[in-house]
Amino acid sequence: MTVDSKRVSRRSFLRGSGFAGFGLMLRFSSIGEAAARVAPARPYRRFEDLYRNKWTWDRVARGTHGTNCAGTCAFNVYIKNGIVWREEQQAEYEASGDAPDYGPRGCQKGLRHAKWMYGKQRVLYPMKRVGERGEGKWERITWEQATSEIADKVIDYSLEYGPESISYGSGTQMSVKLASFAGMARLANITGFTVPEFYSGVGDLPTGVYLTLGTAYTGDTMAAIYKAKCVLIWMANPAVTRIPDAHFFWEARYNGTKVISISPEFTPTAMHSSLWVNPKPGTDIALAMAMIHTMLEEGAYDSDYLREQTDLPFLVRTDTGEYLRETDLSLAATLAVRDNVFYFWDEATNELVQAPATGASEPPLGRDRRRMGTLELGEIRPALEGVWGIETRHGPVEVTTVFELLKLRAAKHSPERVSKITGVEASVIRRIAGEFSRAQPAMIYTGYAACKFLHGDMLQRAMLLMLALNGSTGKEGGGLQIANAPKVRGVMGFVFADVGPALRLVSGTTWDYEHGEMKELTEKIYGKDLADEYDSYYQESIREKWFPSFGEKGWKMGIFAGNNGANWRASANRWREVGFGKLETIVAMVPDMGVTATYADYVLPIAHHYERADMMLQSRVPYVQVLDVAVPPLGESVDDWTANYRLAEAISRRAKERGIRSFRDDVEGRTVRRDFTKCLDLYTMGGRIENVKDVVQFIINTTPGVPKVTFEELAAKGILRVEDSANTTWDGEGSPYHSEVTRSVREKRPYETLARRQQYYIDHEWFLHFDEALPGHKEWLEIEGFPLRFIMGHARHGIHSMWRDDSLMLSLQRGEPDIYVNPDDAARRGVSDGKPIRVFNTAGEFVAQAHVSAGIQPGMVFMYHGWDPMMFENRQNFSAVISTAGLIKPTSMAGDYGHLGYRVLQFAPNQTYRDFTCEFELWKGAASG
Amino acid sequence: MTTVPPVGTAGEAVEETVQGCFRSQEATTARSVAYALFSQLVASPHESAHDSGAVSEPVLLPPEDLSQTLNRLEEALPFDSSFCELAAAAAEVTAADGERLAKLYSSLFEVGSEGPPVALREGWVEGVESSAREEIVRFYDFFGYELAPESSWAPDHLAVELEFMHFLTFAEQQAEDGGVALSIQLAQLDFLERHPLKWLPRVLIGIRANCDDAYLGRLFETLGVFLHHDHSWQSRSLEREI
Repeated sequence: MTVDSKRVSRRSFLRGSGFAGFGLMLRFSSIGEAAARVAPARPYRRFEDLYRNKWTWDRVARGTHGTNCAGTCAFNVYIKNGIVWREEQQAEYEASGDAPDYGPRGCQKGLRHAKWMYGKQRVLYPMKRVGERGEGKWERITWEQATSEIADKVIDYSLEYGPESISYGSGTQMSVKLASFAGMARLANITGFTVPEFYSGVGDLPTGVYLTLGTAYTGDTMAAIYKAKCVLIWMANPAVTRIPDAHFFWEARYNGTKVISISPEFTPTAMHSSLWVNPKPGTDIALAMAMIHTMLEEGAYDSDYLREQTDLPFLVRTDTGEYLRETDLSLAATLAVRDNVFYFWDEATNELVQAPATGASEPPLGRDRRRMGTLELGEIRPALEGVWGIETRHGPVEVTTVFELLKLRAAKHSPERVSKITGVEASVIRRIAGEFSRAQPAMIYTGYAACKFLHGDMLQRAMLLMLALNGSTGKEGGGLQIANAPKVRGVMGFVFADVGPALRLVSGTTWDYEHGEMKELTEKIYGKDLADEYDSYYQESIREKWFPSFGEKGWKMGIFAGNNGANWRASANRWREVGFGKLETIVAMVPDMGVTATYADYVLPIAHHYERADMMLQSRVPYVQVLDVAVPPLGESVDDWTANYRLAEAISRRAKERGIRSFRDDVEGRTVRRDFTKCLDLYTMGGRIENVKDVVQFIINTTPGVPKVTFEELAAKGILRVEDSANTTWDGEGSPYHSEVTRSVREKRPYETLARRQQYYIDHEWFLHFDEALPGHKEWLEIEGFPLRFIMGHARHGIHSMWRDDSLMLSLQRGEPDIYVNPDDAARRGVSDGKPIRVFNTAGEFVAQAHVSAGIQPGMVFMYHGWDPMMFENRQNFSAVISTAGLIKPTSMAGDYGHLGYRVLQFAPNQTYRDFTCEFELWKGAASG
Repeated sequence: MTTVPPVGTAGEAVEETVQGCFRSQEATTARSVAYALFSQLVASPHESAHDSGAVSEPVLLPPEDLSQTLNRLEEALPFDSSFCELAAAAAEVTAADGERLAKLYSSLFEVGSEGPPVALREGWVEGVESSAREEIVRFYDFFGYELAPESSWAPDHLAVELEFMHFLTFAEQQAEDGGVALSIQLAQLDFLERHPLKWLPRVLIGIRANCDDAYLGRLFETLGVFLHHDHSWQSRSLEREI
């Protein structure tokens, strides 16, 4: 096609026609007045002629999807006429050692994004609510109006109630985009907003791992699976949730690895496994303990490993159940509060000896643990078994080892007894334990589901015990695979650069407990006694300042970015009612509409994955991944950095216009001055940071293990291999990921636990009170009259609520939210496949399609999560029946004990999403509630 | 009626048949103006405000000379058309309505909890094939209609599709080559039939259900009638020609 501009212009054409009185501009086209004569390259005769022209691309960009599937799959993004039309996997990954390579990586959601990003769910313009909250009446406003009004509210609430009354909540979708997260946290650091931390808030924090290892981060690359000889896939469904990586399991099977899937329901993962074991929901700790029982009974354990790496040889007083400490033996130690010296019984000398590395003072977090000594035993041979009499300051006491106590605990979990609890045959339990204990190394691959159970921490502790007995933790192809994360030096360095740390971080779980009045929910569902008991521990922990609380001055304003917070919370509909009810202003900064945005007062449009620059590091592949601007953000959307920039600019501008002076702000005992007139200047480091690419560059330059390249170089490549990543396991100091556990095993560096070892025995008063010093089975918390245990899992056709409403994804399922039920359970209730059912308990109800499946045990129901409430009758999704958000486990609030107490992204109470029961019936019409 | 010859094999023959076309310059001009007018009338007032660098609230007001223009179009268009109701509704709109109408436009067509209540984007209309957007871009590419970067993400907006029709009609009026003119005419018919005419009925249903403003309601109803009449006229005129 050619355009000849020598001919009559449109303006003169229209003028000559006598119609020149109104606007003549070609408003949407760039060809403007030049357009005069069209000469197609070939004649047009019918629409098929359009398709004779070869479809070509203007550009191919690199990118990925900045959402938390932990995938970071490298994609090529194909652009024509300013539109992304398709994407495909960038199949340029290499391998680690002799394991299969990582590529290509990508799933159906990623391959659908080019369509979905143009869907009508997109937020394209700033919006202000004009009707009631949730009514859906909106007014389009300008960015300037939106940010000015929000800034005025920020100033007002900060002056009247303090900036802690404003929360800046993000989610995992924000955290995986490092530069975006850094920008958001920097703004919160400057302003004093409270940041409810989401890792525990979504119930994903592996607290049991932290309790045992002193770090929550134990995951390796996915290729490590190939190195395992036996893998238990437990509380995970990688065939569904880790589509780009699941091949490692099946390739490992071809390599001789035994892959055993443990799940109550028959999952897509189970069908590919060597063996599927289906315990009743919530009985997993019992199953693990029965396997431990078997391993102990058969002597199938690595005693050398246990003596060196674990606290199992530590001596414990049989009278108090507490460790024998130096304070038991020495007045001086008591006066010095030296309560971190522990003892072995040395078989070599038949004497009491201090355990190496105990008693050292705490180094700053994350610093060189070699200062804490070594786990090297030298000539000491700690006894694992035995009972001895010891003379203490207060007289003789009997002591034994943690290992002996473990045997006693395991004795209560014999396979025969556990068979009655789990429904799994004792012979099967013994068989799996045998397979597992014979494998070197053995691995347990688990998901975040375990964290969502009230006693999920004990399951993780039991899993780690199994691995310790086997001697597999810290070895390539072994250990517990649950999570890893990049070292935060670069990100937090950016957050605090030039301004220092003044950030209010709080566990999302405790924030919600206080502001969602979740104690009342617990009282309503589980009774006053339990609610009061749990709350008394909670209050004590806050009183003792083991955990922070910023709730005293109330919650006035909630800013939600990079998440759909009103969807993912455990008892989200109650949280919406109570929490949102308290909020005077709600701001949602989102790319897509969802329930959070629907209930907001202001909605700010945020750029989607292919419209923004950023970087991602996910430990399951040894690559740093770029997000690049393939096309400009749609409508008036902008990336998070720019949105925060505009907010900072408005705060500064309005503070100057209103003559707001700096004010004092006390952050956990420290006084800082907040000067809102300087907000923008501080946010941009005096103008040195101009855009999000500058933030990416800052993080690249300062994060260990990331190749030192320019953003442009990274964008050109898409992916770059991170440093120190030759092996499948993270074992080098030079990598960007945590490798503490591996190095503790290899280099005998002490762990960051009180015991300086893998600590399986927690003698904190609260743990002893709740009989959790060692892990053990506890009954599921049933709601009387509601017999069905409700289990959930991550979905195949969406990542949380993202892509959940995509038409193609829906067409691959049943087109609407569905819930899996057992055929006999369904028949007893007169329900057949495909019928709508009302699922209910005393907390609430929702309606979904019955998906009758023989893969579901009697007495349980299963639902893939992520369905947004907006997709349900009365906007009530599964969270209507999740009654457990107020169940904050007391032991997860413990402190004043070595490594216990709040540690950001390490130790905090998870929000509980399981341990509740329900009932269902055929739905006959409008929901009653 | 002459059968359309295979592409590229009988260009001269085609040119001959187009000679003496009864699609007069005046008719094409009027149609072209009508498409430009409707494109502007259904476009977002926010974008206009943005384009003009206005700092005040966006307003949506019919052009001052709309009534005159509509009268002239009625006379000039080669088919029966009646714009008097639209002119009357527009006459009732005062300057004081500008902000209200702009907000109403946005709440109807631009923002909403589950997308805007009424989709002015073809790709957002339920039942439209997902390949529609690609075909639209193929049309634009074929005839050299390039969207400005700020508009390129929404090639399927009603205002853009109507502007493309204006672009084609203008190009037809300017075409010296009979074969080219026929190409453009056939494309107009196909594009209209396969795109705006296909989904505008859904827009009208949405507007009837969600909008009680006389001016905006009448605007889209009038547009619907205009497109149908133009489509019929195009069909008839092309039958005669070839």
